[in-house]
Amino acid sequence: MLRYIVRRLISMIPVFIGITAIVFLIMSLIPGDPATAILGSYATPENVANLNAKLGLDKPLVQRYLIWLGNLAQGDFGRSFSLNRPVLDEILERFNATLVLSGTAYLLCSFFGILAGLISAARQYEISDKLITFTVLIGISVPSFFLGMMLIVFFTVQLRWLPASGMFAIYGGGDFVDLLRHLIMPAFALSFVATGVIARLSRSTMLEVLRLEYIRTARAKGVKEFRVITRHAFRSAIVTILPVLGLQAGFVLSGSVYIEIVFQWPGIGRMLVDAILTRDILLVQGGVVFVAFCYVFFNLAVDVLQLWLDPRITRR
Amino acid sequence: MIDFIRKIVRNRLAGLGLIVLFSIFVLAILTPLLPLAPPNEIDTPNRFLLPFSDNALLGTDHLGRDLLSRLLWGTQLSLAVGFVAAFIAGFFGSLLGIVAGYMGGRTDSLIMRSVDILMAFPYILLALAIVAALGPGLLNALIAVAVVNIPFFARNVRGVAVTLAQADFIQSARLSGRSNISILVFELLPNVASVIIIAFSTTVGWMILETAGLSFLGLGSQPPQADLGSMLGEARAALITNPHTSIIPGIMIFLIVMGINLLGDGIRDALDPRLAKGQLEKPSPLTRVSDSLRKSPPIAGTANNAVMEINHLSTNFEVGEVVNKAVRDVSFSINSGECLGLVGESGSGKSVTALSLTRLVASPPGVVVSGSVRISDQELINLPYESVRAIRGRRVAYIFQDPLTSLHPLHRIGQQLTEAMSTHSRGANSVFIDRAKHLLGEVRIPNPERVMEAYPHQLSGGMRQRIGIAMALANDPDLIIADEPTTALDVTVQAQILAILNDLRQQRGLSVLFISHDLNVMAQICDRVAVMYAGEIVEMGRTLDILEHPKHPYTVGLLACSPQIGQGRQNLQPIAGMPLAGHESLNACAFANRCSRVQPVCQKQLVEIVDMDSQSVRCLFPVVES
Amino acid sequence: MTKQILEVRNISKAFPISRGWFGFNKQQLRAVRAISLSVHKGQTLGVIGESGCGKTTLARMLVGLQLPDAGEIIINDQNLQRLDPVQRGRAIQYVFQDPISSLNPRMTVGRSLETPLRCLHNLTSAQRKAAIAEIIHAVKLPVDSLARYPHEFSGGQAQRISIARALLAQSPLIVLDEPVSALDVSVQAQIIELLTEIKQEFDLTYIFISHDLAVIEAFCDQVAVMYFGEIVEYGDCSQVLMEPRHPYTRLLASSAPQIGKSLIAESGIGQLPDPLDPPEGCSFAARCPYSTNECIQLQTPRQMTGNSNYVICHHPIANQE
Repeated sequence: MLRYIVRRLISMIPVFIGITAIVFLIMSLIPGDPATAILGSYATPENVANLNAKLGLDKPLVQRYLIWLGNLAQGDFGRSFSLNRPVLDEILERFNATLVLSGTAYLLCSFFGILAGLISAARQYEISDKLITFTVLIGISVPSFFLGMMLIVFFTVQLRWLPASGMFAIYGGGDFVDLLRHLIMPAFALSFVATGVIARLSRSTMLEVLRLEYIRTARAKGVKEFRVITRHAFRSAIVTILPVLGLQAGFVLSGSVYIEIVFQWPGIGRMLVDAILTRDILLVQGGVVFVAFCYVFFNLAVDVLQLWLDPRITRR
Repeated sequence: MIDFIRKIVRNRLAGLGLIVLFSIFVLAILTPLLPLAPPNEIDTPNRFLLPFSDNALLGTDHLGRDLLSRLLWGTQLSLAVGFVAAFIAGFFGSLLGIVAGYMGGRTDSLIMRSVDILMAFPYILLALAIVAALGPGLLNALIAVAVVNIPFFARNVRGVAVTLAQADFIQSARLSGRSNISILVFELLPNVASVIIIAFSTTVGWMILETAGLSFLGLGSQPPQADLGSMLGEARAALITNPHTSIIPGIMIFLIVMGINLLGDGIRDALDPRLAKGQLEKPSPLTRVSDSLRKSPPIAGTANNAVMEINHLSTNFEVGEVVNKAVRDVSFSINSGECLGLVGESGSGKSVTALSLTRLVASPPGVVVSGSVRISDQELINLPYESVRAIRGRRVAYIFQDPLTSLHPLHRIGQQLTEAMSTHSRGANSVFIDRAKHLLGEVRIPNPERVMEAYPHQLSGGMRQRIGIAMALANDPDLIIADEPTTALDVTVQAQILAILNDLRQQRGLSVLFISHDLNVMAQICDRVAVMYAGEIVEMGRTLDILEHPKHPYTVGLLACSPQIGQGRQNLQPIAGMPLAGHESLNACAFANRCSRVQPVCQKQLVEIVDMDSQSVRCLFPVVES
Repeated sequence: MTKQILEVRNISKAFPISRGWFGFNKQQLRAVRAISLSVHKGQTLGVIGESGCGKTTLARMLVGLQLPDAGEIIINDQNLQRLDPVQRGRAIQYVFQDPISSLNPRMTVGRSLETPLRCLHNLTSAQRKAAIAEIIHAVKLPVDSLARYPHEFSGGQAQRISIARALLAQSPLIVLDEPVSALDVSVQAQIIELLTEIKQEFDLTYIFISHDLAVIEAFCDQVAVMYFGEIVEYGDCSQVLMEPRHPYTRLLASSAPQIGKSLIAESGIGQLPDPLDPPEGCSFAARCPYSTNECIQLQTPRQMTGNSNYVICHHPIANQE
């Protein structure tokens, strides 16, 4: 097990290099130079050249990449010119907020998605299956940002139950209940789509597994149907569902960008969109790389879990 | 094509999706011709008109622009962008996937590693990075969405292409002299096409959502031009005061994507061969019994010394209108301590008969339509689930053909054995564990302690089948049904398994129903044999009698065409023709069309099974030795 | 004796099991080790062995679907590795075990059958039609088969189509890889009868691979018994199977169920050695009732047991008695 983890960690080095290289390459495609963006269009050519030299932008591409990579390795993500503070500080602060939102949504969609799929498969063609299938269909068809907006219209404007923006109330908030009140709508909107995807997958996987011969063996042994579904069929299905659950984390993270905009959530997605609009390249670069790294590590954790759940792959 | 659409529309929701999508498409195409207000004409005094106002059917937005007009133009734009992005992603992704999957080796690793790296980004990050680099704009958003989705196609298509590249028909095309390119285009592509279409139809919806999302963030279409996403984005500022400006484009996106998803499901269902065979339906825990049989259940018969008695059992496979009669009117009984063999070729109904006995035939499509199955004096056919469950594994236990697929891959051997016991009796787990080890010893497994901890994949085929036998013995059942227990094994292993079964049978006085296609195997272990053909028992009797004095022409033919070892070079005498297809209804002898002794009368009437000497034969002109 | 049509010299094959990025960290899985064979024109050589003995790898190397790591394959005095795919296709053909999966599911049978004629022989459309008509008749398929798709056929009929395709390549040598294993006994006999007929008609030479002793005995002239990637015994078919000299051959023969004879089962577990870590001496030693220290430690010698018959064993059975 430990050897596997170590091996996987080593094999992630090329992934990290690939990620940083792609991000760096894309960012270097940006026309114009950051110095002009920072100094404004009235800057003298001398000032621009000076700043470029100071930022290391006069060096060749590969060298600049290596310098940036070296800095990253030391935890130096550079300085955001639009916010005038270190990129990493801003990222860490924002990422906390994103983690609260995405993490909640992710737990919700994993739990309810699998549960819905399980029920749906076990009661195929019954009323509960039809109800779930219908809800799931809406889930995968509605844009999460639109759903968020409709939640605001209904729960904030019409019913005045829940706050529509931010993470905490500006006055007198800050406790856990306050956070929860702010979290409910965005987390629901964010998880709804992913729940649908997971539920569909779980249902079809369960149905496939239920046709397999070892399920027939379990029934031939006289095992109770509930146990056949849970201990036999679901035990196998989860091995298929888990990798998709890992990928789904990416979808939740992606969706959080929209939701953060709609609900004014002070997360990393909103930071990125703002940074793109202000052309704050270092902030975009840093943010993208940081989140991608987290995502890769998360998927490593999923793989380890997979290894633990499926003894057939231990030999690797 | 029309046939294909009909197949899709068979799923009614997909038909609905098709109609919704088709209407939206027509509207989008006709938009330039419709008498609409100009979409970008600003009319600030008339801003935020509500729907159904004069001159503005759907009202106006924050600049007083006509919402209906903007909606239709926006729809057109969103559809166009979404589909173009999907086509680009589908084309390049599939190309990469096919090449990687077919070429394999270094090419494959290079492509797939790159794809892995792209997939290491949550998709929107990559899209945002691309848009950041290229600058906001609809075309750039399109490029971003397309690029981000390439890995998805590449992965899916590659997965299928890898399997196909190893497929026999690709290899034989190579042996027939086809070049690589020609194999890719003519042999591989047509077989991958359905996967590409499925992937496409299930992702177009996503792509439309994603482009709308980028526009919503202000990174896609730029004012005054608006697609549905940017309409929503612009309306967000007025969400609280004038929600209708948000709701209208939002619902349009929802309708489009839902239509695509519904249709996509239909397309997937139509293209997936497993669905046609009903393989994605949950088999019920108990084979369905036909309504007529349920209404008039079999009458309890006289008890005799048989462990199990089967009378006039018939089982069908019913898929839609097609009825396949797998087992027709089968009767036999198994006496205590006896091994009865059920022999027949594939499709003869021997396995379905075996599974029907405890109603284990997957249903759908299986239906028991007639007959009775009696164990001691209990009738199984009309028993409720809970009572049948109590019999399964306890009084009637099964050994299945392929021990790899019939053992649970993720449960330890010990777990699987003890579960068989704990299902039917209460007791301490340690008692079950001891008993399981003892059973493993009985099937001659050398190291029970270690095997208890193992998973099935860690054992050889022979070992796995020993476990299958041990599991069947777990509750001292009255009857063991062994369904081709040695067919998946090598000869040397088969000999061992047969020896184990035979010894156990004698030591414990087991009653066994042994199913096989191999008369030679039958001869080793069975006291009596029933020969099945086309769902019927055609001959039944003591093993030696059947082997030495076969009376039914089919049994005679079967013996003549099975090669025997120790006979040297020999010409086998094949039985001409092919077995009856199961759905043909029977009004003649089932073997008549292949029989060398056929008479006109054989084609005209059903043949009953009759006793003859010590055997029973279903033949009007049985073989009598001179 | 007739002319030698195929000669295999010391071919071997191991599969690298690669793991990790870009396939570092390789291990070798031995499939076939140092096999030599020869087949004369008009003969049928049977290759028998259980799963994992390497018989399919051998067959695939013979037709060029896999390249041997070492050794040579000579067909009609030409080295197979030096032939281009078209020449190779004309020299040797292959019939797969699973007849349905060896036909492209999206192609009509007619188009599948045309492929070898077009790609190997550059025939015109009219010539192709004539050739197909002739072969369809020879393998006793209904004429309307050509317009149909593979899934419409039963296993036996599909195997006839595969055989027809191999015939259309007009190669004198055909490798039959378990051609009847997937079929029912009654159909199996039909296919064997067909193979016998066309062998006469088209003057063919066969290499017939099977795990079924009885089928091999009924159909073949010579037999090569494979165990764990090697030929352990070779010779005249009936001689080898009736009086096996190698303990493994005898085990095979006694394990095959036979009407009127009770089984003799091997007492141990009977597993193959680990292919990732093959033993140094005889690979059967661990299962062999006659094995001695010699067998475990030393390379096993080849002993001639007849004209061309041989056995690879330290203690062949007859020598002990």
